[in-house]
Amino acid sequence: MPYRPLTPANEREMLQVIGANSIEDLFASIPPRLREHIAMPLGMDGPTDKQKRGWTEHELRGFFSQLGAKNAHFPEYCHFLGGGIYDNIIPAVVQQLVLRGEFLTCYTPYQPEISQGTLQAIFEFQTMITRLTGMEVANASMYDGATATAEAALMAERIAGKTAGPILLADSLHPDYQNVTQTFLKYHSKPPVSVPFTQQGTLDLEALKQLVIKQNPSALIVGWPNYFGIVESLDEIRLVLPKTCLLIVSITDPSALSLFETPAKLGADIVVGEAHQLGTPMLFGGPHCGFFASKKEFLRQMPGRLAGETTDIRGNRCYALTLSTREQHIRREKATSNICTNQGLIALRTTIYLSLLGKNGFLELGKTNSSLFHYLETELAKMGIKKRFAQSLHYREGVFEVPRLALRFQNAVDRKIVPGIRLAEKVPRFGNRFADSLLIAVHPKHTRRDLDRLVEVLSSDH
Amino acid sequence: MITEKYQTLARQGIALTEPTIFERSSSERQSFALAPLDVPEYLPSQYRRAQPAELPEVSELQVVRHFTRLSSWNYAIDLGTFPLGSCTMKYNPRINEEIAALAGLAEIHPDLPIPLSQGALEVIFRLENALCSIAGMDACSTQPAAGAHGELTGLLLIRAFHENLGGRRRIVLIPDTAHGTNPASCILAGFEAVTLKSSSDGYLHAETVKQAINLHQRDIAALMMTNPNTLGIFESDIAEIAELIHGIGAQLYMDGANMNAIMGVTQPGKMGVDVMQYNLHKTFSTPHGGGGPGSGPVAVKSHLAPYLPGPRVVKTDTGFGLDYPAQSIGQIKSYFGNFGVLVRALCYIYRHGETGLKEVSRTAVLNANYLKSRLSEYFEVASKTPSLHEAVLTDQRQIKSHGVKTLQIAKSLIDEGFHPPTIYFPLVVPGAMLIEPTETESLEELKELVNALGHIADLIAKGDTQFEQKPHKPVVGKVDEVGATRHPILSLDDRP
Repeated sequence: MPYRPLTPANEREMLQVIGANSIEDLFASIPPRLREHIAMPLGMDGPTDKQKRGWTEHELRGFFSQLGAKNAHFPEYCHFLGGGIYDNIIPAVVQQLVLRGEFLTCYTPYQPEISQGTLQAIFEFQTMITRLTGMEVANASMYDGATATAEAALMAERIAGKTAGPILLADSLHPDYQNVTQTFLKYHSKPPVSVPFTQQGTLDLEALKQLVIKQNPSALIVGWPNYFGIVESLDEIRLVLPKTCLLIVSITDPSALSLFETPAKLGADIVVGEAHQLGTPMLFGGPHCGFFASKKEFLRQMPGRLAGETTDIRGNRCYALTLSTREQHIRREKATSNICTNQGLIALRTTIYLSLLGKNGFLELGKTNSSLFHYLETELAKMGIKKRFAQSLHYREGVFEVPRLALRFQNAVDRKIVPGIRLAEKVPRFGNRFADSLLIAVHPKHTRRDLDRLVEVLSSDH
Repeated sequence: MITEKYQTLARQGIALTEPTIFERSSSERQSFALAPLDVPEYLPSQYRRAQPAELPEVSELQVVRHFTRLSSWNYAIDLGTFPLGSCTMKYNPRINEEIAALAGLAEIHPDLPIPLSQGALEVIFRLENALCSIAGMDACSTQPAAGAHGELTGLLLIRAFHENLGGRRRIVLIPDTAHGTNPASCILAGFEAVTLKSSSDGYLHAETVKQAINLHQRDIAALMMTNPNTLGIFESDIAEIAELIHGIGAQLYMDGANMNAIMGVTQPGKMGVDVMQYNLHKTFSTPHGGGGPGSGPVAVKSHLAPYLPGPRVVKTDTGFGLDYPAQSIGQIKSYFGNFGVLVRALCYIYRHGETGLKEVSRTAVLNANYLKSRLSEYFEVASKTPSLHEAVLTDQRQIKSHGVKTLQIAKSLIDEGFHPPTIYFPLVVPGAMLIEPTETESLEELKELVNALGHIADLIAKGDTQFEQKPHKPVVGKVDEVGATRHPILSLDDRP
């Protein structure tokens, strides 16, 4: 066993203190028939004896490097994948700081006297999220954007009360987020009802009005920008909804909050989303950082951990987890959620990243995404590749109609370019309507040359 | 009684004060900048933000110092023994961090075409196989992001299983020793949680389950038990309980939070368990990171496999592919779970091999039993029943003699340089202190912990009254947690 701390002499000494003859004796409480014939082959390659004793660090490096080499990544590959997960340039400081053992190997800060570092960092994270979203309160983070969406649906139901109707889910919301929300609500609530999108890819306000009249829904959940990269007019959505009762939950790309007005000002009641692009690599989808913010009046219905400022016995400012009577370890079956963690280290990455960018750097991030996308769509248009939903407001991502998509997609891959997400594959229920649709996103690693190469390969059959 | 001269491990070090990062801000300062644009600048035409978000404006060194100072206020495994019961705070090997940061495993988008993500899919496939093998189960999904998320997934599988058989069962039985997440997950899955009383010796007896079955019959969807339970006791009736539960067509869920005690010794699959969740951040050493990220894969017997969350990674003629099972409960998290955590866990498993993993559990149990034997000299042990990887002590002796409670003992331990045990849990033991040393602590460190706790017990026995105000040594004194709740200040902008 690696990391072995006990010597044979230690083991003898300890068994003597315990009064046992062998380590096996300590397992005597397990019925013998449950201990017979236990084998657990681990599926490792190579000679059996090596599998039994485990691999060395050096062998692990070789093995995992080979696995990594089978995945397309920068700089060999250039990709235009988005759909809620966005590549970004991460300052070296982020990784170095989160590897500090005092952050990496500490526990949930239930003992505030010896967890002030984590607690203050959470407090700073909560402050940043409220300032980005314009909301009054934010929690310490959730698993990811999709589960934050599901938890927002559950919270909206609690606020609306038992007599309210179903949750409305915009059909233009990220398909994974819709799926996860449906799974969470499946046995707990009324099934959510889908709100269609228009020819322009935006929420269908007429359909929404009808649903509001017929169903008395508790909340509307809408992507902002939505899965097609369109910045929905939250203020107009607010106007067609009744003043009271119905909550707007905005599923928000936090980098868009550099350029666009806060969802709070536009009428949202709960703002959640996925913040991984602010300091955390794509990691094949996780661990990421769901954020969760709302108006203060809903605080007691919020899921997840919250850090609050207080004082110590000497009167000094300090921090502690607070309002935990909402949580499962106190309330058990009456808790606001079963969640028992947050994404501590990833939220810390976000906090460090945003500190490094600062007010201006964050603006530049948005400006870079917006400018790269505008250049790309202009150049694609010149080659006759049209942006679908062209009349709608975009930020850093959009759907493009690429003739002979399958062929051109493969040509791009042959040139080590992954040109985007094929909507017909990602969302099969969209069917033939989206047969040649490609969701293309830009990110700050892109240069003009990268964009030009993409335009070239997508506009020809060769 | 500690006879040797006791010396506390805690020392006053250099603890520098530090305001929030916002209070270090100075207008127009910036540390990290993107390259200047090589395309024309373009800003959106509508909905432009009137006021930029007030983020701190600080230099790179200010950022490094700020967070380094903050870090120095945390206790961590890297600083000392962390006997936090049920949390398995073992050493987090650094090779795992190095491997998880490889560009080919970190900088990859989950929507990559399948041929371009074969390595990532292979990691998931291999880990799912290893987790099945360790537990003696048939299929596994790594999608759940944490233990509680895995519990919810497992319960949804049970729900789907019963519905497919045409039944709607209402009740999940949960022993009173369970984690709070268990009943909370039940509610989310649309079940009603019914508590079962464990006996005074810490077990859940088959007889208790029989009575519950007599009462609720086929309204019972499942029994959810933690094994070893939260007292560190192996539920020796489990195979019999499994038969009873299966006898009424219900399912046995096992919370696998305590797998660190039994790897290579016994297997949930052998006990009759139908579904369980792992906590990779416990058993397989992935860092707790101050509260996440975790990972809570579920492993099932074959009859529940059709309901597992999709997409599932499958082996194909050309490598690895994805499958969306028709009867699946659906997605429980976007994409494939906390992949970066999965990489670390696989690395840990392969580093140990089969023999090494068995040795992990044997050593964890030896360490825990040593601590229990030594500490029983100073504290009441909650149960006479043999325990495995953790032990529960109580404050009953100290309360009776001098009115000193578990909370005060825990806070005193901080002053001796240790993280306190898990306190007041399990709920069934008044004044519980749940101690789990894990296998990576050396005998010297265990002795230091015994000395520290023994020293505290001695002080109490001598009638020392200095316990109300503890701890004294950390960067902040006793924190007013009630005050934090009364007037919540949850962001800088809430400050009066």
